[in-house]
Amino acid sequence: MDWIFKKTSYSALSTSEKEALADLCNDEASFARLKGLLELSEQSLPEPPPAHIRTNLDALFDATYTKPAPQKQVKRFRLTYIILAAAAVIGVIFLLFPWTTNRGNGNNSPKVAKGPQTPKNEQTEIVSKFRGRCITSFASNGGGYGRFRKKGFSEGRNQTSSHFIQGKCAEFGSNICGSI
Amino acid sequence: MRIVKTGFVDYSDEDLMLAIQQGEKLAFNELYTRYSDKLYGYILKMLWYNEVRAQDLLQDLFAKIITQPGLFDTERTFKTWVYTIASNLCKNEFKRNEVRKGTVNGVEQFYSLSSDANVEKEVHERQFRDALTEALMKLDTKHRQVFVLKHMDGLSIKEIAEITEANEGTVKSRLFYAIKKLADTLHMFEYA
Repeated sequence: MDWIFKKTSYSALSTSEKEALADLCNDEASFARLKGLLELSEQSLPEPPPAHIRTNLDALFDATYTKPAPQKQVKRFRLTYIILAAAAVIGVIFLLFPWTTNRGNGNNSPKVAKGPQTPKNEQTEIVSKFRGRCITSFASNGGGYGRFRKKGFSEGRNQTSSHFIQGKCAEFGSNICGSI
Repeated sequence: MRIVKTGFVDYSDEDLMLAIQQGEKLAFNELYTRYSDKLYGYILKMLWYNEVRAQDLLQDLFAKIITQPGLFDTERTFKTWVYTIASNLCKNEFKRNEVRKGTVNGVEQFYSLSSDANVEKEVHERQFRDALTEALMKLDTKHRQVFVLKHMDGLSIKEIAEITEANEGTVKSRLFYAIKKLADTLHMFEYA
């Protein structure tokens, strides 16, 4: 029925259009009334809802889609980064500490840490127990760590350590012999 | 270079719904601006100008858009989808029988007179509008619905058929009946 708007008067309607509108209008006056009814309906005034609805919906939207502030995100990231870095540093220290201690003792300090000095009387007792065994076992092993030595292993280093051990053994042996 | 958001004025309704799903408040504002007046008018007319209930329903409708934007059927147009929801809300309201039929509240406040020389014409139009509103309220729900959707909200027959879940022939028939009833009721008015 949109074509009603295009017609200015009842007389402008075609026969088929008049037939279609027979139940609604049959003269100029009724046609004008019908046209006016539809035109005014289409020009219906806007009915804005009250402002409090918008306010409520704004609050609802904020509550539904609240995003964390970007500054807080950066702070959280920094804190996590610091914690992880500290943990990593501590982990590395724990991993390296025993290794560096051993290596340091082995390479840099050729001196073997001496245990607590035992009194001579006690030494005499120990020596009397192991008398003969110690010296023979040293001799058969080629001096101390000789049984673990491999061919082609760093010659100078082994020599140094073996000489050192031999020297110590000799010292220890003379002590024992002296005490005996 | 800083990109400045100018708003969502050029967005289609459907794109606005997608933006709302991503939490874009400006998109919601734009959608509200486009549809709040029309939907409020539609709900008001469907609920016999019960303003309190109409406001509640409008708020419920937009609250649904905010909290459950995923319900939007992307295969439909937003316009028909939102009117369908509004119609369903009104239907639920009818079922609750909370609306008192036949009361035309607050119609007066929508039409204010201007003080220019064309007062006589304005008075005539105002009387006609009031009479039209009253006649509209006396129509049964189905006929009122199709008339409001077609001639007040400007929807097509196809869209109305989709919203009312009726075929186009039924919609046309209801519309014709509604116009006939209104024309009969308003026969005392002369429109120039």
